[in-house]
This record gives sequence, C-alpha cells and structure tokens, in this order.
Amino acid sequence: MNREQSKTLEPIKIEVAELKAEEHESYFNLVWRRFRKSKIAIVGGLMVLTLIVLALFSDFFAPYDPVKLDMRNGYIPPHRVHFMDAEGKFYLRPFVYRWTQVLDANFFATWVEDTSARYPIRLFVQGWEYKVLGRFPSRLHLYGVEGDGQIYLLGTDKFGRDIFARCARAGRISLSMSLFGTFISVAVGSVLGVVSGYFGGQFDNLMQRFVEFMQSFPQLPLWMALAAVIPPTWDQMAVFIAMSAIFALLSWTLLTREVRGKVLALRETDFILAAREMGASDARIIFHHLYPNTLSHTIVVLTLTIPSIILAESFLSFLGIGIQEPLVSWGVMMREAQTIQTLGFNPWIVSPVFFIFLAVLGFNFLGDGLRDAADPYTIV
Amino acid sequence: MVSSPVIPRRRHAKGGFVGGMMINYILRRILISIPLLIGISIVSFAIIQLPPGDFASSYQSYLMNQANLPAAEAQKAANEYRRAYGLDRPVYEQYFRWIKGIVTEGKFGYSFAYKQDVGELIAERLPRTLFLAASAHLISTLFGIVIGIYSATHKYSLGDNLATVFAFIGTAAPRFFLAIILVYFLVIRWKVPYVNRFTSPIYSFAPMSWDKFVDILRHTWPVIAIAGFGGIARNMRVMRGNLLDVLNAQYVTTARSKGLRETKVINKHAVPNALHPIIMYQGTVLPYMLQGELEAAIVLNMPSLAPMFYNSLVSQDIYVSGGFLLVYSVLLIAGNLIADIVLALVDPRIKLN
Amino acid sequence: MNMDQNIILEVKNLKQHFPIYRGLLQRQAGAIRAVDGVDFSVLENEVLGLVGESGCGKTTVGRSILRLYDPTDGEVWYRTAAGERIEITRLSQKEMKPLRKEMRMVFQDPFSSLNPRRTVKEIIGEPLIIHKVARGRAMEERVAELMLSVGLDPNYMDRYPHEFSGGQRQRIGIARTLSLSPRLIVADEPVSALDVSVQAQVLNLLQRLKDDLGLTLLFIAHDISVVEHISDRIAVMYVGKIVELASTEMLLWEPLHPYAEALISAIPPADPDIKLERIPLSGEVPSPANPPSGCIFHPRCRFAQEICAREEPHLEEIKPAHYVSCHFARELQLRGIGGVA
Repeated sequence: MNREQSKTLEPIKIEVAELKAEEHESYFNLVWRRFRKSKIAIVGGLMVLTLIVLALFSDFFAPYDPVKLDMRNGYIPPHRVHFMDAEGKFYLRPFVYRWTQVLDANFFATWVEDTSARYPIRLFVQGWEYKVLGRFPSRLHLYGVEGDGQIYLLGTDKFGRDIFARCARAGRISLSMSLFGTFISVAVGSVLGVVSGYFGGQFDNLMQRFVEFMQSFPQLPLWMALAAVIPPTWDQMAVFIAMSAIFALLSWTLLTREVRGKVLALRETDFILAAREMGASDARIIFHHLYPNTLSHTIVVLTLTIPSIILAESFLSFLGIGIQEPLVSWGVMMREAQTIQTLGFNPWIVSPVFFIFLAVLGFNFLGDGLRDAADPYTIV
Repeated sequence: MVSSPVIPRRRHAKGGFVGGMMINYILRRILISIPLLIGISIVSFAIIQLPPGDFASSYQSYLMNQANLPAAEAQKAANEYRRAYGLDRPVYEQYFRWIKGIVTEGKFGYSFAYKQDVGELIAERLPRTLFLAASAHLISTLFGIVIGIYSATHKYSLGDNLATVFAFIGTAAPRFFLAIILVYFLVIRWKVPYVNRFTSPIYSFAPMSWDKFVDILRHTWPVIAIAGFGGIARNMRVMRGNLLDVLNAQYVTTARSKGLRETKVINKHAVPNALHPIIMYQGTVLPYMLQGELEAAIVLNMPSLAPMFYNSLVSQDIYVSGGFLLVYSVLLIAGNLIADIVLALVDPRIKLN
Repeated sequence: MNMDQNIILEVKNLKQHFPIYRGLLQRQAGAIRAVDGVDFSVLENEVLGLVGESGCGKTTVGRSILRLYDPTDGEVWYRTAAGERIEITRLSQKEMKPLRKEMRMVFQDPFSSLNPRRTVKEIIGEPLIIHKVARGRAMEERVAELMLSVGLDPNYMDRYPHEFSGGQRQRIGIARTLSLSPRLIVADEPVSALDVSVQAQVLNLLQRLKDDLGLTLLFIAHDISVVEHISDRIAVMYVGKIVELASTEMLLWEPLHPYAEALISAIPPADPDIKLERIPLSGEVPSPANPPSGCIFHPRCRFAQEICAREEPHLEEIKPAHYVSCHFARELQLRGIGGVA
C-alpha cells in the first residue's frame, strides 16, 4: 500500500522488562472483591437470595397447598414448636401439638393446643403433589408432620390456608412484579438518558421537559388512580403486566436523569473524543463507550427502584386496588387486616409484612454495597 | 455518601440586586409551572375517564338491584342523570367544563357520592392534609437533624447504632403496616375513643383554642408519627453522613487547630455546612410526607383528603379522584418551588439564571 | 513548486468560535474566539511545535484540524498518501472517515483518554475494527506488534487501563494512534500530564517512532522546553492567533516577538551557573471571549506603543521563513536563549 507500510515497527526490548503492569484482575473480580468486603452488602444479598429461592421453590418449602381451601381450619394461630412436652420431658426432635377448637368463656370458638397428641417435625417428607418450576412432578417437601397432624408455622388465614405456604408463593408475584417493573423502567430510562445526554440539543430539551412533567405527578396517588382503573375483567397475566407497567411509568425518570447527567459528563471526556477521532459511529460510541460506563449508576438506581415498587405494590394490594385474588402477593395477603376486629383476634395474619421488610431491607443493603463496589475506577 | 463540596457560607454582597433576581426567578418558576399544571390536569382527567362506564351506570345497577326498579326505568333514570351532569357530552367538552369551573368558580365538579361540589370537599379537607403533612415534615426535619448530629458526634456508640437500626426500620417498614399496628394498639389494646377523628366531639364546633389544639394533636399524632417516621430516618442518615464528611474537612481541622472547643467547632462550623444538603433535599421530602400522610390516613381513616381519594377510586366518583389528583400535583409543584427558592436564598452558589 | 509538494497540511485563516448562550431564551450573546485566524503549513516528515499558555487555543487548533470540531471559518488542506489535496473543513463525517486513518491524534491526559471499561487490546484494536482493517486473531497480532513497538509487554493486552502507570497509559494511547499507520499525528500535549522522569521516555519514543515510520507531527505544548528538542519549527500562539513562527533554532536564539521572548526566558538554562533574568509577564491572559483591541498582546507588552492598541499587526515574513506578528518586529532587540540578542 503506502510507503509507511514498508517501514516496520521495531520492538523496544529494553523497556519491556521494566514496564510491568500491576497485578491483574478482571472487572468482575474487582467488583466482587470490593463487594465482598462490605458485610452489609453480603447480608443484603443473602436476604434477597433467600427470598428468591423461597419464591421459586415455594411448593417445596410449603407443607400444604397454598390455594386449597379448608374452611374448618380457619384462623389457626401459628403452631408453637416444642422441645419439651407438657410433662417436662425433653425431645431432641422438635414437635408440635394438635390444635383443637374449644368454646371460651364468652362462647367464642378459639384454638388451643391439645397436649394429648404430639407430632414430631420431620424433614424431607412426602406430601401434596406439585410441579417443581412448573414442570417436574414431585411430592417432596422440606418439612412436615406425620399422620393426621398439622403444622402451620405462621398460622392459617380465614380459609384455612397455610400462611407460610402462601407467603412463599406470594413472593413470586411481589418479587417478579417489582423486578419486571424495574426492568422496564431501566430499559426505557437508560436508553432515553444516554440518547438525550449524548445527542443533546432539541431532543434533550424536549426530553428534559418531559421528565420534569412526569416528575410533577404525585407518585403514589397516580399509581393508585391508574391501578384503580384496571378493569376487573382482565385476566391475571394482563393485570400483572399492566401493574408492572404502571410502576415503571413513574420510575424511569429517576434513571434517565442520572444517566443523562453521567453521559453529559462523559461526553466531554477524552476517551469519547478519542472514539470520535478514530471515526467511531454514534451507535458505537453509545453502546461501546457510554453504556458500560453508566452501568454502575444503573445498578444503584435499580436497587433503589425495586424496594420502592415492592412497598407501593404491597400498599396498593393491601387496599385492594390492582392485584386481586387469585393472584397472591404479600400485600394481598394483608388485606384481611383492614378489618380491625379480624386483626384484633388474629394478629398473625400480618406476618407477610416480615417478607416485605426482608425484601426491602435486602435490596437496600445490596444497593449500598454495590454503589461502592460497582465503580472501582471512574474518570468522571 | 453525599460528598458535595462544602464551602463556608458567606453573605450576599449586594442584597438589593439579589432580591430583584430572586423575584424574577420566582416569577419564572411559577410561569414554568403553568403548562405543567395544564398537562397534569389533562392526564388526571384522562385517567378518571379511562374505566368503562360512569357513575350513572353504577347508579343504574344500584336502582335495579337495591331499589328493585325495572330495567327500563333504571335506564331512563340513568340517562336523565347523565344529561343533568353533562356525562353524555364528548370527553373534551367535559374536560373544558371541568377546568372552566375550577378556574372561574372554584368548582371541581360534583361528587356523586357526597352530593356536594368537590371544591367544598377540598376546602374542608385540604387544610387538614396540609396540617398533617407539614407537622410530619416539621418533626422529621427536627428529629432527623438532632439525631443525625448526635449519631455523627457519637459515631459507633450504642446510641448511634440504635439510630442506625431505627433508620433501617424507618425506610424498610411499609407505612400502612405501621398504621395497622397503631390502630391495633389504639383500638384493641388501649381502647382509645374517636381514633378516626381530628377532635373529640366536644371540640367539634368549638373555635380554635389551645385546648382544642392539644386535643387535635392527641388525635392526629399517629398519622403525623407514621408519615414523619421515614422522613426522620432519611434526614438522620443524610445529616449523619454530611456531618461526618464536614468534620473531616480542612477548615474544620483549622478551626480545631485554632484551639476552639469541640462543641463550638461542631455548632459554629460543622453543623451549618452539613445542613446545606438537607435543605437541598427538602424538595424530595415533601412528596414523601404527602405519601406518608396518604398511607397512614387511609388506614386510620382520618378525615383528610386521603381516605376520600381512596374511596372515590373504588366507587368511581370521578370528579373527586380527578380533583384530588390535581390538588396533590399542585402541592407537589408548590413544595418543589418552595424548596428551590429556599435553596436559592441559602446557597450563594446557585445561579438564578 | 517543490516546496508546496512537501506540504502535507496547510491551514489558512482557521477560525473556531464557540457561541455563548444567555438568558431564558438562550440567545447567542457572544462567542469565545478560541482560534481566530490561524495560518501555517506543516511539511512532510517534519515536527512542528505549537506552543502557548493554557487557554490560548492550541488544543482547539489541533481538534479543528482533525474535525473534532466544525471550524467556523477558514480552510484546512490535507495532502493524502495518494498525493491528492483535499480541503477538509467542509467534509461530512462520513467523507472524513477514510482520512481519519491517515490523520490521528495523541491525547493529553492518559487517564481520561482511555475508556476504563475496555481492555488494552480493545482500546488499541478499536481503530482496526472501526476501519475494518483487521479483527480476531489478525487484530490481536497487530495489537501485540504495536505494544512491542511502544515498549509494552503484549502479555498484558487483556488488562484494563487502570492497571498501568501514567507513562504506560500514554504508550497505550500512542499505540492506538499508530494502529492504522497514520501519516500525520497531532500530539496534543502528550507528556504534560506525566511525571518529569517519564516525560523524556515518552518524548524519545515519539522521536524514534517519527524517525522509523516517517511520520509528520504537529506537536502541541505549553512549554517551549518540551518541544525544543523534537521540533523542526515552532509556532507560538497567543489568544487564538499565531504571533511568531520560525525554525526552532531561529526562534530560540533570535525571537522577534516580545511574547516569544518572555516564553523563552522561562526555559531553565542547561548550565546552572548561568544566571538569566526571567522576563516577567505582567497581567492576566485576556479572555478569548473579549480580546483586546489592536495587537492582542499589547496590554502585557513591555514595548507597547499607542499604535499597538489601535491597529492589529499581521503575520509577516520579517526574515526568510521567520514570520512575526508585531508592529515593531524590525526595530526591537530581543533576548534569545543565549541571553543577549
């Protein structure tokens, strides 16, 4: 070709030996090492992981079918797990007593422990049939009791359904809806943020005005209003998608702002200039250079958005707008607590709140740890 | 955490000039809000128009099922109802009628459930909501800052750790759950009368007095506490982080090296500068308070805007839903405006253009 | 003309103004005249040093030439490897793309000019992929070759920039610049962000590469002492304009512009026993948004006369191949590097 090709590049041998790079680590190793240092992030990660596993394999963890009605067993209090029986005899294997209904002094039916029947708790027992991940039939359950005994660790609801089993199952909706809603808002938010920050000008201006507009809506009231207009005739899947979209609708603006700010700063950096200088296309600059550098912001906003959707979903479901039975989320389960008498007699029906609490806290902790870990080397 | 560069405060050199700029700035901000409000009103109206059917159709089924009217007669009554309230007009016409009513007469449309103009409902209940949200804001700022200062100056002490745990609960516990717990204790355990009221009956029609004010606080504290709780937690975390940052700043070290006592260093130098980001962040706290009030007041059925808004959504009382949505938006915009103005007043670095 | 055939780059009356927007409606309220009428040519295989204080527009000149900005006015003629002369200020980015293989840039800051999320292989190989020169194994081999040529161990090509020192990172940047075998390189203060001890290494590398590959360099620096050894000629810039342009020797020993004289007096002498009086520059560098009338240098010039504030001098060839923009270039007796003029 041209004459420069004939001139060869001479390696510099002396300097090679001197110029050793520092200890090598891949990006993910680096992030992981920094992440691991934060105890709180590990705890948060474990909390989230536990909930996800519990939701995915909920039927394995549930001794009873979470949707099967059993009206005679309504509002049984949480079963106490004993090591010592009424006579003070100690057992290595924990057990529960049978619970029976008696009439109290006011002639109300109440559940009490019947110490005459003792049921040891067994692990990996055979029980009701279900399908693992919706495919493989199985009868294996983590725990249970033998014979005609029953074990309701968190008690039962009005219809005699095991609250623990339902909490595990409800995690599917609560978690997947918040993840799906967040996924939509991240997909929309980061694309609009990068594009608006990179191209600037008129589009950016319009985008900014639109984001301001969206942010002037009061989040919770608008969510409530939108959720309330979902027709009750829609099928479960449609309601699920509509609710996720509603949550995403007001969540993407935060990320767009963050990403845009970051891109505005990155746009002026030399490595973007260098990419333009070597003739890179806009698409290449956006996807190869800008996107990867906004990732840490995206992750942080993601871990903030998920818990906020979990909280909002639980409140809306608690009010009975949006998600309806037979879809079950943690919020839906707490609906009965709206009636103060019901709550007064059966306070255990609010136990799904601990799952909400765990999820929100877990994601918050995770976000805290990731914020510091995801950006091991920044320019801006 | 938040690591904005903190510079010592200084006074504006030219007060008059800044004052003029300030008015200009406020006017411009208000002007910008107008198209925003128009957009919001359109969206609010569109949302409440979304569901199929209207109040007349539920009125019709009510007549048929509860009043045992024949279908034809119920249909006729419903149609008359539609005509009377303009529900048979095109949507855009209904919208313009709605906006015209709000702007010219302060009428927000007729509430079918309360048989009253929504404007009157708002006039009655908005002050209560504002009182609840503002009180929550006040306690969250006050307690948040005080606890934050304590935490930062007693880092890793028992009190600091307790405050941290408290903050985590405050941000992660659903507020409606906290409200349920309070209701449980108030009603079932302590048997407090008149939980869902602002005053005891004897004060209902009494003019405002100290005793009545105390009585109101006695009734409203659960809502204020729940709405403010999360805010305390957030303010406290921000204050703690900022103060720790500031305490490491060089000018604080300089102040210490001059031989100032530690309390003086903290009160005179560190705290004023650490407060800055708190002010900056007030714009996001108000909507948080309003949402907290919304959640708590619905559960406690406190007669503010909140439960009425919820009920209107359930019963499709559209003018209540739309009007309240609009009011919430106005509150939000006004809150942001106030926060921005306060920030511009306090921070000499904010450029007014 | 024989001379003309040697010219690889010719810049004529180049202007680069950046608008300033103000007010609610964002009306254009003025312009920063970063580059305000610059003329010079670069000869094939030479090193032209472009020197001036920070903010004088030298970096903007480099970026305008490579069309990282769209010049406000003027012409930039580039002679391609095929011998074709092209005016590039009006080319579209698409038409510009083939030329980007021949004209490349070395950036100032080795920390911000390398994407922290990409490996050295991806960074150096990116131009090869963009211009569809090589990919996969072929790209890797070329990257290895390039790394060796700038003194880096190719075994480290899968590492990230943060794992390298400043000098090593600048070598990565140079390897990236060389990857497409360019003919003209704009080196924008390539060593000013580096430690003094590393500066010499990188300068030597550039010198060697220039000799080996027959490159042409436009070497931008804020310090004459950095470019004096590598440059054949030096142009001195002040607030958007070139005030003096001459061969390195002539400029250092017989400067004709008071500003150049002041810059030269700041060079530390090689022999520490020689005590030279530094000519201080009083006052501030004027803002390019609001440059002074007449000669831009007159507010700081110790020889300024009444005419200097009134009339703008033009770049004139006072001595053979020695261009100066000063009303009194013929009269002034200025001090060069040797002390007395």
